[in-house]
Amino acid sequence: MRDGEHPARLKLELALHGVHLEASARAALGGPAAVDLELGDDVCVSAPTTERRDAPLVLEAEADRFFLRRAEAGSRRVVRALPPPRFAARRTSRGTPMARIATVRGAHLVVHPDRACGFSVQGAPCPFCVEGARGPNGGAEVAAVGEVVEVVRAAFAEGVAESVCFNSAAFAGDDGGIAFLAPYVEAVRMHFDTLVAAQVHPPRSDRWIDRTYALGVDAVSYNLELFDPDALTRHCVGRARYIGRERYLEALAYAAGIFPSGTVWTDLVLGLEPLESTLAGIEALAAAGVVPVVAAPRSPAAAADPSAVVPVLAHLYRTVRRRRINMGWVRDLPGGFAPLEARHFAGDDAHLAVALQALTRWRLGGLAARSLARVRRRLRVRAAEGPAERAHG
Amino acid sequence: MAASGPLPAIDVEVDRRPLWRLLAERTYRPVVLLLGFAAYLAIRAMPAQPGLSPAGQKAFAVFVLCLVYWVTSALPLMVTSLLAMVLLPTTGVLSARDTYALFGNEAVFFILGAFILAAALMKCGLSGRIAVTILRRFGHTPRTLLLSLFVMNAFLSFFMSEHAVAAMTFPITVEIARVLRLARGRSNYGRALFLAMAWGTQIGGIGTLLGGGRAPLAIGMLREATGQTYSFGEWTLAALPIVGVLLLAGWMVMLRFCPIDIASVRDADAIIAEKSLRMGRLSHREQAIGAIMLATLVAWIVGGEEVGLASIALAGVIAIFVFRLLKWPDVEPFVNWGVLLMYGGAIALGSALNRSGASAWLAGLTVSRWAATPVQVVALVAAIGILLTEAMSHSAVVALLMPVALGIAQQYGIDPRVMAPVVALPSGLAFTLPVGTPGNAIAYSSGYLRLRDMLLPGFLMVVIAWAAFVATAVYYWPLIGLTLVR
Repeated sequence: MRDGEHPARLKLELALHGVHLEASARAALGGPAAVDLELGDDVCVSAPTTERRDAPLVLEAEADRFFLRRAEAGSRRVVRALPPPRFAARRTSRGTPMARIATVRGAHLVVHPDRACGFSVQGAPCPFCVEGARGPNGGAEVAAVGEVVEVVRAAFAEGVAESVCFNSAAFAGDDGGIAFLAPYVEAVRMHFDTLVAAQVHPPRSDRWIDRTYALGVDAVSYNLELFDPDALTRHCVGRARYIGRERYLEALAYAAGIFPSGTVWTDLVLGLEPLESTLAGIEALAAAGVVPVVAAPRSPAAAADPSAVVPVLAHLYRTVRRRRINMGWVRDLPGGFAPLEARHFAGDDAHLAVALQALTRWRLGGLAARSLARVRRRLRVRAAEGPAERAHG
Repeated sequence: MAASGPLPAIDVEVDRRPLWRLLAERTYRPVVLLLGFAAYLAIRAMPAQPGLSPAGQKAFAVFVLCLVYWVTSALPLMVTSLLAMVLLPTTGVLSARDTYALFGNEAVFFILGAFILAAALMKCGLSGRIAVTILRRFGHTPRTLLLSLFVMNAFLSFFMSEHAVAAMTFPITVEIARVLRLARGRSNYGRALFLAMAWGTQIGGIGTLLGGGRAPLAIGMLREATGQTYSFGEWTLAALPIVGVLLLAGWMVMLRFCPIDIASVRDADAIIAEKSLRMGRLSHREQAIGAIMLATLVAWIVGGEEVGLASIALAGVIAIFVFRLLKWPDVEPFVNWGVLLMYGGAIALGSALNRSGASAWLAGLTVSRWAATPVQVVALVAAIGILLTEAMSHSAVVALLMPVALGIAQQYGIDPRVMAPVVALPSGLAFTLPVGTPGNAIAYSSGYLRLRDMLLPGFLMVVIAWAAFVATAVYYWPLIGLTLVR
């Protein structure tokens, strides 16, 4: 481990090259395909595990502590390996394994009430995508609202998540999947004081974006994945065929005008398109008020060179800052780099933004953030009314 | 169990204006509520004013509170009236018995009867039949179609609330515009059609006591204050010349600002003929309701003074139910109970101001300073009414102005009877803004009218209406026994 090496740089390396588990770590964690690590300074990563003994980073365990060792240097640093949450082993009152309904990613509980990706069902999954690869769930039922509430309650009671992110793979209707998620979102808002995000597909009409915000969704993502049109057509067949790149960009731009600054985001996956395209995507998205998140490739075939990626991450931070987009909302993403996390690559401390983000991690700060989000919604959302209703009788 | 249920229709919109503006808008109501209450307390705490009795001071405080809430709509109009009903007895201006007895004013029951009779006309389809018949009989060229639409709206508003007429004829007008393929926002004829609808209902609405609640409210307040009243025929006789002038002026202004730009209305003819065909022949129900309506009109004209307008209206209502021409649930959607509450409260407040002498004191403080002669008073009150009604509910304007107008009448020796039409007629004429009246708003919602299409011609109509009104009051009313000076 190099002295003074920032956790964000480690994260980059772990995300791109993975980590080798020593026997001691394997004994403690089992043999997972990926291990979630907290590297310090609020940086977390979901590092794919590799069997290669020449992997640059190795995870060791001693007693109940974990160490990340750089193979060539021999130095090591303490990290926290996050075990699978306890609730994941439980079942809902209807007998559904809770792990089937939700997973923990960083500080977020990712809930996916429908199991199958719509594109997979149509035979057009994104080949690099873990969600898409899952496919139809052998006829498993869609999770009931009550089950989702049970799972969220269990996760919050265990303290493994702070917010809820809904994921829907439905794309066929005009609403882009938000109508399907609506009862779940409403139930979670009714039972818990938490921020809610949604990862859905762009609806056909922008009015559904208004509806999404009105429903109580605090942050939204229409995941474009790739900015380059050719790469998108090649790697994300469903996205290109059924929705189209332009609609993603339009919907993201519209949503950025509706949702608070910094709460509309999209992933740009590294390694599947030329880095110039990723840079152009960062520029275009940020210009529209959207937060680009540079995601680690989800397939070993797409692995990228860390040194080539550093300028992209530096550009990410600088562009979002230049566009004055709030960087405090999109955070704690183990599978990607949020703009504020990328500040280390731009050589900036971003004291104010970091301090503000840190505030929201405190109990009182979180409460204030949620209250402000509620007040903003109450101010912005109103019932649509005809002109006759506005007239004097 | 699958969780997904259909999400309700997209019934929300997100306001994208700056947050500070939204915040200012949202805090506006509580601020106004507090301001109104503060004004009320301040007037109550004010040292005794010369010419204002203690009861008058309290009544004035309640009036200012209601004024603030009526003008700003910080509370629904009818709730403000209820507030007046609560405050008058609790502050000791009127006894509870007197306050609630005023609520049972004849005007309130006349309006109730008028609502139900209009409901019967609409429910049985007779009003729609009249509209289609007029259009079919006269509307064969672009000019005659426009004119018949204009006059038909005015004519129907003699017998029904102008808002109800606008709501009823709007779909017909839209359909005519559609079949004539008039381009929204660009077609002159499209603009003219919707102006004809909006203006026609307003002009007709002032013609009789049935076009809206303003006239009955003004008469109710007059009666409570002075014991004087108007018969149906007297009111109509006083208002009709203004209606005639405004119909003529409206027609000319419409043609001047929206010159007819189509050559034929044959397609509209076909649609109107089809509607007429679909209606079939006059049903027994329509005939019976038409006969009752006609009998009621005749009774209002012949025996309104002796029997009372409300009694005749309610007798007509009872006849409709005796012959089972209507079911009660049919009536309920057409009866605006809130308006009845509003009128009851406004009449009670007006009466309290008069009895306590506050209205005379208030008149001395306001209008009397700017007007020296009865004619100037009439011109000034009419101007205030016509301006206020562009931004306020017609009835609220009457509720505010009538007590002051009665006070002025006392001071200038003007016949208080004159003040009822001086207040009620101009307050029904809001030609300029879409928010002025539901008829304007409905027409504007068609998409054929832009704001600027209404502003300039509307302003011209306002000036003409004011001039026509003053001229009628000064030169014509004395001929029918309505003299300004007693």
